[in-house]
Amino acid sequence: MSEVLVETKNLVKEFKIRRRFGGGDRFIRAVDNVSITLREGENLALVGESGSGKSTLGRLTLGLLRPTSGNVFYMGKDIWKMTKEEFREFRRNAQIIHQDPYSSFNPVKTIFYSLSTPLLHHKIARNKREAYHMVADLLRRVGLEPPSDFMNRYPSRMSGGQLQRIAIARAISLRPKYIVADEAVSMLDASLRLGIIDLLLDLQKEYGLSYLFITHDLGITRYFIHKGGGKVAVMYLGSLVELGKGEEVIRNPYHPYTRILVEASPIPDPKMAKSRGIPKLRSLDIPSLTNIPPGCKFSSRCPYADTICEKKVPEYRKVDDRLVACHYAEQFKTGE
Amino acid sequence: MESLQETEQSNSQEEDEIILSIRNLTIDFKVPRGLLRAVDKLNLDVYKGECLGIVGESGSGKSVLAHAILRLKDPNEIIRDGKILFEGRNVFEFSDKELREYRWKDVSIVFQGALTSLNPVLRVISHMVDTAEAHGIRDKKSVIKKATELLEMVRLDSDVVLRRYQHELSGGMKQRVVSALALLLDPKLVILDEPTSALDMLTQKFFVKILAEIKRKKNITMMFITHDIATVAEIADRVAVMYAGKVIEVGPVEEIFYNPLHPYTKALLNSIPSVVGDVSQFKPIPGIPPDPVNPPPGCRFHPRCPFATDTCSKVEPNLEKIGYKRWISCHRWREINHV
Repeated sequence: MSEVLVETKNLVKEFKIRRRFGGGDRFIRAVDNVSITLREGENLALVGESGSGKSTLGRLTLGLLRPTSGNVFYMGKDIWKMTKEEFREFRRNAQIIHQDPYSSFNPVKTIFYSLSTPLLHHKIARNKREAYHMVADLLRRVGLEPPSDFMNRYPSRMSGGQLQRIAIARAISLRPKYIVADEAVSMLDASLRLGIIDLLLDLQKEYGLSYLFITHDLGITRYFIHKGGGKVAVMYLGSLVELGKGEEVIRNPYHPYTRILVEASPIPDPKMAKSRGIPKLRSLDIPSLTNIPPGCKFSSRCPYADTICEKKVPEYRKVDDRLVACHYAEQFKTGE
Repeated sequence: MESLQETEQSNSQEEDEIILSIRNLTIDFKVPRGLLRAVDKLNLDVYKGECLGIVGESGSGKSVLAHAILRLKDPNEIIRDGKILFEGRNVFEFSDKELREYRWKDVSIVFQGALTSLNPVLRVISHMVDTAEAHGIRDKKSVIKKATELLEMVRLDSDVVLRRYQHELSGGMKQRVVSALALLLDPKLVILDEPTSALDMLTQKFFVKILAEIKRKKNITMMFITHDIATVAEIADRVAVMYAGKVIEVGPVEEIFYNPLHPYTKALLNSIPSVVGDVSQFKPIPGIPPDPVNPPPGCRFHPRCPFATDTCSKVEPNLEKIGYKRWISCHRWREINHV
């Protein structure tokens, strides 16, 4: 088994929100006691609705946010206990691809500028000439040919799909080991999404990358995991509710929340889609992070919840080869 | 090969009543780079009582089309050609008074940004009453009764929601309030422009189910515009697929999903992975969507099409009627599909 690359232990992140009319500050817990492990060359797909804390978790693993408590380890070292030099090296090795390619580039700088700056900063290229060749190679590698066509363009002159390829080129330019792809294909046209995922997975083979692939789309998750392998983790209101091997989680969910997400995913089949009913939920709206239900966080919406669920927080435990946080996972998985 | 216009007359009695008919619609936008052709010689019919799904990627012109139907004109927009006939009357020739009557009473729209469509300083009830009043309905009691009915229909507790401001509602609730508002004056046609895009997965699913229910109960005509072809499967009776400002294939929903004929429709359906089906069959469409300022000549899809020939790169295909409420715009659809 390959080495553990990124690991979080009981990670908690709270944000302070100010009350508008006095009354003191309140805290919301965006990430609540999350432990994940990502090995070298492996993938972890992180699924959840908006507000589930999946992006916050991604940013914590990159050292872009400081945890309230708990730890983030990179190759066995706590990133917040690293020396300046080590931290710099970690940040070179851990990169991110954002959701919106248009807002992730400086609009008044050319593509060459955006791609060459990190190369020069980290002294991977010694001078501009060397940087030029490296940038050209990178552009070719992400399928933008001929590179000279793109070097002097501005972000506003490019399509979303092309810009996302450039964002990928920038993320791999420093030869990182770990990349967080935060909804990296959600804003792209449907016809381009799989092309970008294919590119990410090709690069993984070539450079031995590990991805934290964050998405809300289970269809996309399935494609990514099918082609790239790895695990799927489902988040709800800051907590992990289910984690397991690849497609199994989608095919046979152990947690009611995962099952409802699967059932609510659109199916491009009119007969099947029309025959499915409204998802069985006690309440449609996701509770606010300021008002999390006691007991199981999902109990306010879960169609199977009983009084135990409303009182007792379910333990995040091993069921078969999976981790599930549900009192009734055993019964639920067999359909009882 | 017959063109749409030629077959139009001969088939007029074959089919149900047409409520909206778009002919040869061509719309340009002035942009710094030149002229952007957003809608290009577009032909489309909407039948009474159906839900027509309009599917296209960004830049395919679907929202511009929706706005044109309501004559919501952008300052940079130039309508080059064509007409939009609502119950036989040309929308572009409406007087101001006729236009006021037409909007909301005949045709209403739920915008993409419905989450910001409500006035932040008005309660939901004021939105309802003001809307009715603007259209000459002063009987407050009956408006509130109607609003209550509609809110219940979208599964909202009207007692609570009517007294709320928009910031007191969640995204899914706002979307449902806006939809109820769109139905307030019993329009004949409701246009929904990307109504689910800003909603969460579960809310999306719920909202689409509710729309389908309303459509069934009230027998209204709907145009459901979306980039997400999978959502359309759930609600549409018929689907029109747009590419580069044109409709390239139209047909009953089951035909489009189970027997797509246009290479783009086929490729699009294969490029959307879902939670069911064989995952290894999904693949991306090669190439990039066309630049609307410089669209490719001939068939707009030919640079990405695996079946393209010389003709495809030179001659623009017509939208050809090939069956019951079914049209296609492809030179080679017969050969490709072994017809």
